[in-house]
This record gives sequence, structure tokens and C-alpha cells, in this order.
Amino acid sequence: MTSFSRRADTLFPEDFDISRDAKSMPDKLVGVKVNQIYAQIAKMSGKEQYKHELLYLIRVLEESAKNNDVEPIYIPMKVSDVEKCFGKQLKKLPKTTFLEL
Amino acid sequence: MNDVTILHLSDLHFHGTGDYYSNLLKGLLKDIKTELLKPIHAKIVITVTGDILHKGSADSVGKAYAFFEELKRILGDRVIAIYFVPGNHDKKRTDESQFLTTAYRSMKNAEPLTFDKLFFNIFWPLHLKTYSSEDGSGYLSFTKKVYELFGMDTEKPFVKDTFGVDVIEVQNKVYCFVLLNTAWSCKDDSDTRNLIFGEFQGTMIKEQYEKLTNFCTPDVTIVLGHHPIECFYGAEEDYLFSRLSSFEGLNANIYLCGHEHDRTVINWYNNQHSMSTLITGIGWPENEENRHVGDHYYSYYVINEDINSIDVYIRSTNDGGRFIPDFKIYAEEQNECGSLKMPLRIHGSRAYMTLHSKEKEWNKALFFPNDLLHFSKLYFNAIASVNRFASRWLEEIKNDFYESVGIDLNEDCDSDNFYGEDELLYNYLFTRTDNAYLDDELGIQKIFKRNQKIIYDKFLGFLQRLCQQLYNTLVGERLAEGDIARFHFQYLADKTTYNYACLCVSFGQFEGTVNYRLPDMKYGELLEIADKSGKGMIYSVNEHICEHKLNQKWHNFITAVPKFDGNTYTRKVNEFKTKKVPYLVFGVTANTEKMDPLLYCMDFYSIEKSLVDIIESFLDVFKLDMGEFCSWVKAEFRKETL
Repeated sequence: MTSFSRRADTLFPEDFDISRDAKSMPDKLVGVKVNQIYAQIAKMSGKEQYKHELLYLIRVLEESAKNNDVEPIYIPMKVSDVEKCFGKQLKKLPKTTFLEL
Repeated sequence: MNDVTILHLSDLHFHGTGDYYSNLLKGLLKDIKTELLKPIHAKIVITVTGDILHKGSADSVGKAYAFFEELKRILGDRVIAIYFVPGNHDKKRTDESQFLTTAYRSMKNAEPLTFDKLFFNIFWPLHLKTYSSEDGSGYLSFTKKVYELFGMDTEKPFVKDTFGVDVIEVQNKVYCFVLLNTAWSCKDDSDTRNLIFGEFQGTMIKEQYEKLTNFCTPDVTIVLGHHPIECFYGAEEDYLFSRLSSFEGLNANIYLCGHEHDRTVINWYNNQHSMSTLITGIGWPENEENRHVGDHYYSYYVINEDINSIDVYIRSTNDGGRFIPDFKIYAEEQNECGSLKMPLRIHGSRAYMTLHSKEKEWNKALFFPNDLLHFSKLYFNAIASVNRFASRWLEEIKNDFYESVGIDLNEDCDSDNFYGEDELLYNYLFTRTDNAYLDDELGIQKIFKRNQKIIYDKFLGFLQRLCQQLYNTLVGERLAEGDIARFHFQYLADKTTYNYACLCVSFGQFEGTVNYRLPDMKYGELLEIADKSGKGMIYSVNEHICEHKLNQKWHNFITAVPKFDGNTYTRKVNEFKTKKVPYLVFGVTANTEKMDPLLYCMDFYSIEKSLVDIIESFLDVFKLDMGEFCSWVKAEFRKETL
């Protein structure tokens, strides 16, 4: 039977203790899938309580656009920021949303 | 294309004796050598629209001939024809010139039917003496000599009469050159609105034209005259215009002239005919009567009959030295292409785009302003770029989806089942063919149903990204601080009230606040018209039918309904009636008029159809029910916390 495997550097939700990492190494960078950032922006738009997170995600995309001619599949974000922007949704997100860098 | 190049010289005003000509004219020859020896100018026709000499002085004929000898040496066999028409300086100024127009008019009024023929037979030979070597300026013998120099047939009537018609064939196209003597009746240099063309001239030209063209309309007809047409006495102008620009007349396309080359030109057209005027001229000699001529011009035109256009090149110098491109006769701004593009037949060009309204008769026509073509190009490049990006996003999403759910499927798979769900999904996503088995389709449907929320999430991200990519490519950094343009999708949030809420909206770097949410809107007005007509609707075009006026904060918007499969909600209103509304609608809202040209392009080039292609590429892979998607979005957006 054909065998398929995920990328070895995928951070699975079961292995990614975001609260722990955010406390112990908040500046650690992880890759976040650009697809998911756009979906998150759509969900956060218009929610006053997510104003800062929304601004942050937009800036992350703008910075990435400045530095890359072609938008990459993953964009690096600090674990502490990932927690703020995605923390409560982690289990609901597609399993390949994050990447070990 | 590049059928023929017309080198247009005028008002050379050779003066003084000897064969030495001014630095200005030397500079002119030098520039012609640089410009006209380029490969696209393989066939050149030289046209000289009068005032070769200065004040009818025969002394400078030798100098003028030396100039054309040098021109012939430079351009060589590229020149396929040369034509001259006389200007007011090319005849010797005589006493009878002072009362010529008055005498002509009064005698013509007395004998309107017979006068012109008598005039030509009796007066014209006398008048030609003012161009002769013996008693006049020497213009006739000079032009004959130059015609011979360039290999022209000097037996043609225009050589001895100063006016007439010639027909040549270039690149399988028939070009007709009509040579007018607009200057015969002039007194001096200031005859504006007083010149006579003469029925005798019109009749003879028409006879020659019919004989040479054999009653077939040439591909291009170019008329040469020294004076702009509006220099003629009113009735003469009407007569000339009706002769030049009608099916019964010469059906002329271009009028080349000189005389007053520092003025704007008047082009003539109606719904059946058009005639563009092209004017040029070197001008009076420096220091003549303390006169300083500001700019000295010459021009050349590349005729592209196949694509109905003329490339107009105008070169000028102010100091008699280097010639540079200069379009100020025709355009406010200098043209970055180095040439000005003009239609050969304005009446054959549909230079506007239709902006749509509820009723066809209310549609508006946007005549192309100078910058609209720039925006059209921008629009097409942007749509192509967004399509390219969307294909890439879809591949990413397919990989992402497989990586997210495929392995789990494999783990759940019965080891005896050779053909597991993960392989089924892999084959569907990456090696799909159109003749999939029904069982496979059912299997895929099951996988998708179990992972519906992931697909909804992906679709939402896809649409958000689409809005942002449209913003980036169409607007980018073109807006100034304070300008806002929002590309957005709205979804059917309430199936009872037909209320639409924001699904996703682009963000821009100058907008300051990102927490601004577009207001909800109800189905009706422009949205309903856009839905039913299948066309984008622009607010400013349709303001008269909008009960709800646009908030002052905004300037304009477009609303469009991408009619992809499944984007229709059908509600049974009663036993006999159903109401259909779209689930998703697209729009662009802007607070600045800078966005208007792009909105016009979106309407005219049907943005809704481009969106259908992009969205269907997603839905072709990930089948989803738009009604369920809208319900999911509504529930997600209602959550206080994500």
C-alpha cells in the first residue's frame, strides 16, 4: 500500500503545548500557515476585543509581503503572539497550521 | 503595420542667396537622418506644405534645392514619393493680389454658373506666372526640379498646376494624396478667414480623383494644404470641407498643413467621416523683422492602416540646435512613448466603455480619458495575477487538507482494505480524473462531511486572501494617506429579512483602524439589479435609482454578484412564488475618486465573471453547501471568543 507521511517538522496540536512554550520561551519562532492567518483575520474583523491581535496579524502579513516576492506558505511568529492570536482555537485548527522552525 | 512614413515639412522659409542654409535647417537634416533611418521607416513619402521660399523671393531657390539634394542623399531609395503645395510665401506678391479676393467674389456672384471655368482658363495661366522663374518666385521650376530629383513623373497635372491628385500603392494599400493650392488668393501673411479655395480647383481635383481611383475609395486619403481649413472665408470653408469629407467627395482621412504651426488644430468628424488635422512648420528665419520664432517643428507620421492608427512624431527645437520630441500642439502632457497615437478614422473608433444601469437606455458611456487605458492594463494584469495566485493557494489548501486529515484516515483504515480512505483522498486531490467511480465519490463526500468545518475555514481564508490580493494588485500603494478602498464579500446572514453581513474585507496600510466593519445591507436596490442583470453596478452611475444614499464618508462603490454554482438561496414565498437571492455578494467601496477608473473597469470587464472562475476553482475540489457555510460563518462570527 502506498504510504503517505506529513512533514516531519509539523507541530501537531497534541505535541504543541502553546501555554507552556509561551511562558518558557515566548520569543521562540514557529511557522504559521498563511491560509490560516487569513481565515483568522476574517473571523477577527469587527470584533473589538481582538483589535490588537487583528492589527498584529495584518502587520505580520505586510512584513512578509515586504520581504518576499511570493507569499510563503508559512510565516514565522513568536509563540507568545501565536498564543494570543490562536491560543483558544488550537484544537479546532487544521493539524498542519504550525511548523517547528 | 508600419505601412508608410509621412515626413511632414512645412514653412522652411529659405531666404537669401547662395547655397548655404541656416544652422537650424542643418540641424533639421541631422535630426531627420537620426530619426528616419530607423528600420521601421522603410517607405517614406515626403510632404512639404508650403512656404518653402520666403516672401516669394526667387533668390533662395538654389539654397532650397541644395537642401532637398541633401535630403535625397540622406534618405535615398526609402523615399517613394514627394509632394509640394504652395504657401503664401511661394508666389511673388503682385499688385493684383491686393484685389484678387474681392474681384473673384463679385464676379462669381454675377455669373455663378460659368465664372469658375472662365476664371481657370483665363486667369490661372496669368496667376501661375507669379510662381514662374521669369516673372515670379521660381517655385514651379524649383518643385519640378525636385520632383525630377526624387524620380517623380513631372507630367502629372499637379506639377504644372500647383494642385492635383496622385495615387500610389504601398504594401498593397492604395494611398491617395490630394494637393491643394490654398494660397493662390492670399494678399500677404494675414489672410485668415478671407481665403478662397475656388470651385474650379475643387472640380478639377474631383475629376482627377475619380480618374485615378477608378471610383474605388483608396485605403487612405491624405490632403495637403498650406493653410488650416478654418483660414478660409466661411462659404469656402464649407465648400472645401464638404468636398474633402464626404462619400461623394474625397473621403479624406488626414489634412496636413502648416502656416500657423504654433496653434491648436481642429479635427473634423461626424458619425460617418472624420479628418484629423496635422500641423507643423519650421517657421520664419531668425532676425527677420526682429521676429523670434519660439519653436521650430517638423513631424513624421507612421500610418498603420490595419489597426486604424497613426503614430505621430513631432520634433521641435527652440534654439536651432538639437531637436527633441514635443507634443504640445496636440497634448497637454508629453508622451512617454515618444509618439502620440491618433486614430486614422475617429468615426470608426468606439472609444468608450459602457457602464451598466438598471435599464439599457440608462447605461452610461465613459469616453476614455487619458489615464483609463492605464487602468485597463492595470486591471487585466491584476486579474491575471490574482488567478495565478489563487491556483497556488488552492494547491496549498489541498496539501494542507490532505496533511490535516489524510493520515488519520489511514490510521482508521482496515489493514485488509487495500484501498484506504487516505489513498482515496490523495487520488481525489492530486491525481483526479473526470471518470471517478461512484463509490469513490461517495467516499470523498463522507470525508468532506466529517471535515466540513476545516473546509469552511479554508474557504473563508481563501475569500479573505482573494480580497486582499485584489487590493494589493489593484490599489497597492497608489492611494494616499486617508484614502480608503475596501474589497469585500458579504454573506446572506438572515434568510428571512435578506440581510447581508460582512464576510471578509481587505485591509490597507493607511486605513488606521482595522476594527471598522462594513455596515450590513439588505437585498434590494443596486444589489438586486446587479443580481438580476448579472452585471456589476456602480453607485455613481445609478445614484438616481438609489433610495438609500451613500454615507458622506464614502465616495463610490460597486456591487456585483458572482453567479457560481450553488450561490443561490431559493425561498418559497407561497404556493406559487419563490424568491431567489445570492448567498455571497462582492463589492468595492472607496472614499476617494481615485478609485473610480478601477470601478469602471470592474463594471465594464465584468469582475463578477472573473470571481466566478476563481471561486469555482475552489468549489470544484471542495464541494460545499453555501447555505451551510453561511450558517457556520454566522455562528462563528457571533462567538465572543474565538
